[in-house]
Amino acid sequence: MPRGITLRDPLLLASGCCGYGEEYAELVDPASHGGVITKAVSPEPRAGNPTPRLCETPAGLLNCIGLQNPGVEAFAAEIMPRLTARGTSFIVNAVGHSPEEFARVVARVEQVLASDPACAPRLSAEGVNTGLCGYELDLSCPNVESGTLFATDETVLARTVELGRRETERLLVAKLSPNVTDIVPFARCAREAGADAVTIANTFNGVSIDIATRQSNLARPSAGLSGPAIRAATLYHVWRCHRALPELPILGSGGITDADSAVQFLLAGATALQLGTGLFLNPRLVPEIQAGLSAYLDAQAEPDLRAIIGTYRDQG
Amino acid sequence: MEYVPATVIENRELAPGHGLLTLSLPEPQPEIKPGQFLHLRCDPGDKHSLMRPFSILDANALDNTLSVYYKGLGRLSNHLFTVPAGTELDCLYPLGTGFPWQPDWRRVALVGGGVGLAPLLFLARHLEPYGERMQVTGFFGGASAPDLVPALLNDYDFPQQLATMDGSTGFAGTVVELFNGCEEYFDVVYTCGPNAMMRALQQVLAPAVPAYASLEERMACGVGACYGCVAAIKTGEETQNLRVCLEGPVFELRSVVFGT
Repeated sequence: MPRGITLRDPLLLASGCCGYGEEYAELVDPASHGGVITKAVSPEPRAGNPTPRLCETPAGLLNCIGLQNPGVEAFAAEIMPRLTARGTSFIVNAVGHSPEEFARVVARVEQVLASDPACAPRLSAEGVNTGLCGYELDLSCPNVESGTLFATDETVLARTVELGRRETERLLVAKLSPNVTDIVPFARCAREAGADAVTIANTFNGVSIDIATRQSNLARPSAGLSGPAIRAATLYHVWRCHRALPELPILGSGGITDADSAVQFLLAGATALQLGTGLFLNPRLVPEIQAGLSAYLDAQAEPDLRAIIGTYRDQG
Repeated sequence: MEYVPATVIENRELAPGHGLLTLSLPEPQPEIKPGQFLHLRCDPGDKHSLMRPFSILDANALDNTLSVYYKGLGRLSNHLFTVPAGTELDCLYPLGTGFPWQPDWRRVALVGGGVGLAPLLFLARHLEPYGERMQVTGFFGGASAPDLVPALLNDYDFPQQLATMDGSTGFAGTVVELFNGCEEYFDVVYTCGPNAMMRALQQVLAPAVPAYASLEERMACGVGACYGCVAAIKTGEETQNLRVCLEGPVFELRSVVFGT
């Protein structure tokens, strides 16, 4: 990876599912996992959508939170120093209404990093990156107008990644949409525009209807589906991307709820894993997956997780 | 906040569709305040469904138990009726803020309906040790007499005024109509129940009386991480979407902007 980072563990807490890294800290020890990807940060504060924002489906969760966040100024002034002081490794999830707005978030965070010693990233004695480790561009939120446009239009995607790339030398990850027939062209486009890695993927578009009123079960007519229900479909995108672009690091995200599913994502080609809805289902998920991954390596007589990445025997 | 396996020591149907679940929790039990809630895995065999939030009806620190009053409203709450004693259910608790209370608030009104009775009854139990220095009065409403389950309410000694829409027991009308005009006799009002009830109470309540509402909203994480359960709350000049699970579920009644 051109701008690689070293984390304690390949398990990360996914954006939108772990707040700003503090809400789960009492339940999930920040020193036990790889790090957190913050809830989206936009140039200005956003109130998000009305409720109901949630609707459970069979083995899945529809949400239409709508990127509620305090804006980059409050994030940089209040949240970043606390996360840095705690020694949390974190990636800032940046979002905007235009490619320029994505870049504004990255640029502002970089400014704060340069001027506020309390936010300076560090390298631990073990060689682990703590504090701010990079950015994830949220190109694929389905719950705001034109939210997925950034990951489904190659011109817009390329411009968004390029402008973000100009603002930072740190790790830059493009969070792609699963709502495409073939994810490979978008992953290639993100890489060529300067992304160091891709997150595959965000939520799938979904609908749930109250049959009595014939209205949506949520505050919006459609929402984003996560959880075990999307696991196989997300895994398909990871596998396709890794086969086509084997050098491009993939952060796998979508329905990982146990060690078995975590291993499947690694075999399909993911180099790191994001846990989201799975944490809601089971707050003990991080240690349970870690124990399961160790047991898997022992059972398969493999030296480490690197040895199994992309080793799906898809030719039989 | 703890995520622990809780053991069902009793699960009793109080009336058709109404249940009382008593859980034994590992020691030591954290302090639990009236108004707080727990997130409960209703079906231990279903690893792909979210936990469900329930108000805490009572908690006993001496024997590390807590109880939950529930109604069969959906698939998982209906499944709860089938869970036998001895079952282990994962439980995340205690969550949220509790009801604020001051020692000089001696005349306490509880206005509630449905499963909203649970946190109010916990508060009444919590105030029992103050004896006659504390005057608690309940104003409880439902559509019909079976909604105000005697097997639940008869367990409490404080005076209770009941209201039913069909007049099958108590006052015929809404609980807010029953309570309207009574606030001058109270130092504080606590409410929990359907939003329409709490909105009506907000409209009739005189401004001088402190009033607190415990809100209900669909939840995923229960700890403030997902921003799924917000309520519009007036904070000074502005209105903010605050998380019911973390900044709530208890808010000043007058600060809540109820949807239409």
